[in-house]
Amino acid sequence: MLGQARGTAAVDGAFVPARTQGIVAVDAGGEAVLVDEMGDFLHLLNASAALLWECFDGEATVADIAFDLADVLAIPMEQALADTVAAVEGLVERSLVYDGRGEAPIGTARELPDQSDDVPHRPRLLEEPPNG
Amino acid sequence: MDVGEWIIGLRSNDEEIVDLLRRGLASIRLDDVDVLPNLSLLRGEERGFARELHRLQRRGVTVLRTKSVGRLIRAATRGLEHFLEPLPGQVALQARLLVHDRGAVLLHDAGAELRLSERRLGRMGYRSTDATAVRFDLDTLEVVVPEARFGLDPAVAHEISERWPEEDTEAAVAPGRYPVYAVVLLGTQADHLRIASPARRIASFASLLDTSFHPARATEVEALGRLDGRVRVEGTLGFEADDLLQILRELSRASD
Repeated sequence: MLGQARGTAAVDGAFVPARTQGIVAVDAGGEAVLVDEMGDFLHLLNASAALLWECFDGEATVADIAFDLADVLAIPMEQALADTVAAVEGLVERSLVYDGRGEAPIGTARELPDQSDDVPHRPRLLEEPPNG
Repeated sequence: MDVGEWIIGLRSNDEEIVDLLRRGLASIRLDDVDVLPNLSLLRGEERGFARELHRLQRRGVTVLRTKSVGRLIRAATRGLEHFLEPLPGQVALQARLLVHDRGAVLLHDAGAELRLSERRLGRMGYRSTDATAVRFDLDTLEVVVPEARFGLDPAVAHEISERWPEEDTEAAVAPGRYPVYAVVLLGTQADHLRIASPARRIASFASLLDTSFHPARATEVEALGRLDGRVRVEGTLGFEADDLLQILRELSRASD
């Protein structure tokens, strides 16, 4: 399981959504499948959430994103902000997004040990179920 | 057995099979390693009125049932390929492959335990693979049956085939590339898939990925998702062999 995003700062307008490293989006006709390339999980995003995901650059705040959303979708700013906060909270809960104002959560790609060391190649044993 | 990337444990409940494996795979055999079984060749009880089929188990799942000990050993040897990292640009699938004149049909591996009558499959025009490794080319979207990199010692292979000749239906799918004609998913219904959101359909295809080598990668999920709209997708909620055979029958008859 990636990250330790739970327990980070509450999501409000100042929150800066940043994508957790190792999470890659696959376009699905406007929707998206988020692939956790380290944890082997898939997460599905509907069209609205996929649109938000595109906006998470680690610099724009939730308020910035909501402002753009309100403009593009011609909806009240209050509604756009509430929807964005709710969506970001859901993604933070699943460790897919963290607050870019702080450190990246533990367990993301940048903190994994470099596996390109010149460790001698040795055959390894596969662990199997008892009735393998 | 030392297959390079891994040391693979083979076991059998039968001394004769163990002996044939020891001699047939002597070039990659390791005797001084304590290893868990990864492939099990289970000889069925052959005496009496009701003869039990022999079984090949891989990672705890029965992947082949046969009345031929020779076929069991040959399939196990070919099955070593399963434990090798796929070639660059390819990904391993956890799927059973059937090949029809129309192309490859992929059955999700969750149905590996389902006993599909080879005779009935043959009548529908399907050829089977004897639990061979199944790869997917991320670029061409073809199914790839890799050339076996391990083989039995020729003398032992001859000895085995003398006693248990190759059957017509044995490993009838030659190594090569096959365009995907259909995907059959288990635990879901075709109607549900048709109305599912695009993201959910892609996730359904992604369930075919064998993630025992590494977690699923976005490029792999994306490539499998590209099958959506290009191939027939069928599903069945249950895990009944008859349901699956019915789907396969309809696929074999379906007009393009």
